Amino acid sequence: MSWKRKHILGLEEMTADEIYTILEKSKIYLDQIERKETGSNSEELKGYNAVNLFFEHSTRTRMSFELAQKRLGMEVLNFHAVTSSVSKGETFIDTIETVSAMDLDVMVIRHVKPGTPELATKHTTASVINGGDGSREHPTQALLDLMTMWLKGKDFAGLKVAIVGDILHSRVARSEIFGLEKLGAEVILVGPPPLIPGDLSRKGIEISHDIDEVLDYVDVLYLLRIQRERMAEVFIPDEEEYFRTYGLDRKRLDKTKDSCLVMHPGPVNRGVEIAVDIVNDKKSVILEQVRNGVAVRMALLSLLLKG
Amino acid sequence: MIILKEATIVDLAEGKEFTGDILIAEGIIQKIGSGLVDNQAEVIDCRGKHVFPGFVDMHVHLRQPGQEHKENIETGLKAAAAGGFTAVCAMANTNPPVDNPGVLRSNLERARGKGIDYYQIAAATVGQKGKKIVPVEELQKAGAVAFSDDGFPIQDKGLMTEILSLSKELGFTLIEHCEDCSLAPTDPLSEVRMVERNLNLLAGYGGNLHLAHVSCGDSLRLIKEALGSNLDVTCEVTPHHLVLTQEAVKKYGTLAKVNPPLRRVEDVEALQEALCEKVIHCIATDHAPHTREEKNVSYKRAPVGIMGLETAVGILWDFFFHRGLLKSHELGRLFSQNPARIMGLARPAIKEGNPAVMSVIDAEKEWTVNPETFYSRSQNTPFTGWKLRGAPFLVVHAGNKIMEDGRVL
Repeated sequence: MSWKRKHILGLEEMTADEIYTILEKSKIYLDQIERKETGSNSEELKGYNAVNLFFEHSTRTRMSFELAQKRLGMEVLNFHAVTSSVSKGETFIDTIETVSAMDLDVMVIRHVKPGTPELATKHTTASVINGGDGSREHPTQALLDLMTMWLKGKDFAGLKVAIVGDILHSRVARSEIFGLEKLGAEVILVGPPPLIPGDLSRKGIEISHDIDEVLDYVDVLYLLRIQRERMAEVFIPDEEEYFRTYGLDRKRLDKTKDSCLVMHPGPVNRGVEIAVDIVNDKKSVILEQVRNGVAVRMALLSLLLKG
Repeated sequence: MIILKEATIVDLAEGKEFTGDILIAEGIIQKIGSGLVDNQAEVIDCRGKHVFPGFVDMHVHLRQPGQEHKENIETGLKAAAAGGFTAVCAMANTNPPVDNPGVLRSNLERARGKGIDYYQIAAATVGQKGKKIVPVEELQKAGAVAFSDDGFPIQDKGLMTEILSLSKELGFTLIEHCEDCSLAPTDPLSEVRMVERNLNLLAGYGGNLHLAHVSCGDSLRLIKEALGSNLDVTCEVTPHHLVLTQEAVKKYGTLAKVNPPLRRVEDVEALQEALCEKVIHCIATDHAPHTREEKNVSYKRAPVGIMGLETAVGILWDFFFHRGLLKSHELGRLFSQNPARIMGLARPAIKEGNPAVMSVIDAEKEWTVNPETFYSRSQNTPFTGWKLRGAPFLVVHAGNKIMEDGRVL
């Protein structure tokens, strides 16, 4: 297909064909990276400017975007809310308009408020990539996750993916669900009842409150990061208790299929979502997710700016 | 429900033809007889039309993913149906190349429900770089129908030996474009030497080997010899290599630039002879679309490739059927039974109870090649303006009418 979309706001609005196009393009970059063909001197997007606007703390996503931009030869500006004039009272729209006036080609935006990247598109001519908006979407994370499953030879038709943890507050989970549904996979949401939103109960989505029920048949076990500050809300007294109820330990891992993939968006709380020794197990593809993330972000930048 | 009325049914096994009505319902040939009537059925007048088991083009380039400006799976499948085919096998030289089960699966997903069958050939080596063998079993599991680096022929003898042995062990077909890349492609030796090397390796190590688009008389002599000593090898020829010589480059310029290149008159004559003698097992188009802009440069810079899906039947019928060189059932084997067998596909005979997958040819129809009317996204054919006798009339797949009288439905 020829690429039409100007912004990457979420997977809810994307078609399966667009997702496949992104994955295919990503593989071109991954192959280049593996062959060490792409250094910091790539000229593909030379002359294009990117700004990473992070109104919320991020290390990994921002680094991944920056590396992707630099590998394509882009000029990169980084903006952190804490060190910027946002703390001096400038509004979000003012910031977008100001930055936009500097003639930028692409803006990566992370913000605690859902819908902020979409709002930004109305105040800039640049392409906008959602780097995570509140608990709404985190499309680039979901795309790199889909890429990881896809490269591992998983057939999305009928693929069974369990997403475990705090679904309610997770933008990763939401993007993940939209993407998997479009590609024909079945999603099983696993977590304490208060952390699974009711509006997600629909065809193709199952809900379970017992991780031990799903272990023996899922093809992918996707563990979400638990945010410690939310533990109290969900009546989980402490991390040990969460690990006992939903954490992946050796015993649970052994019950999964040989071909089961263990995934996590990072950063991992070792001993909370996953036992210390399992992070590097052969079923774990957590580091491949990180590696694929750079390739996916390169693909998106290239598709948005060059079609 | 469809009734093909008074069709000439071609029996490939017996090499015979007979006239009859064919009743198709629920994807199956329900009945063959005369004077069949059914009030619910759509009746298609097939007087003088030849009905064959579905045609298969086992060598096409549909350019997806990555080069959709030339062609994509949807336009390529439409072109195939318009050209009378019920299935195509697409080569892996896309961007990214099909060297991974993910890329393979998304292509199969895209092709689903598009009328005719799409099969994907996987790359033989990672990135088609000729260094490391792809994960064959994973790709087989994902649906790879064969393996080939096509335009990036495997030069390394050790690697070739390894892949051939693997093809025997894991039961897949390796399709090899034979070219010694240390020689100029225009030198016939570049092909002949590689055919010789590959046949020797096959004789020594065994394996399942198919030689793509053979173009030289000397290659055919080697193949004939190998077949004579019971070596299990198959090969294909393209329509353009059968009817054009290197002189065509003067007339058609970059539109006649192709790899392997068009050869001398004696090579073309040898190809025609080998086709009639059954040394060549099938017709494959090597359909290779490029845009006008890409072809409209100097000969040296132009990409190689000629498209073939929408002209193959016309050329073969005009040059071989109407000149008395090949009979209907022989053409049927070259277009249907043989490529299907090589690729391990089912193209069942026209018999009661069999699935209805058929290509119907109007041997008498006269038409003029006009790329403007192609379903393909590109138009790079040297055959523009050629008057041909013989055209695809109907394509039936899974009991459904996919193409009628040149129109894809």
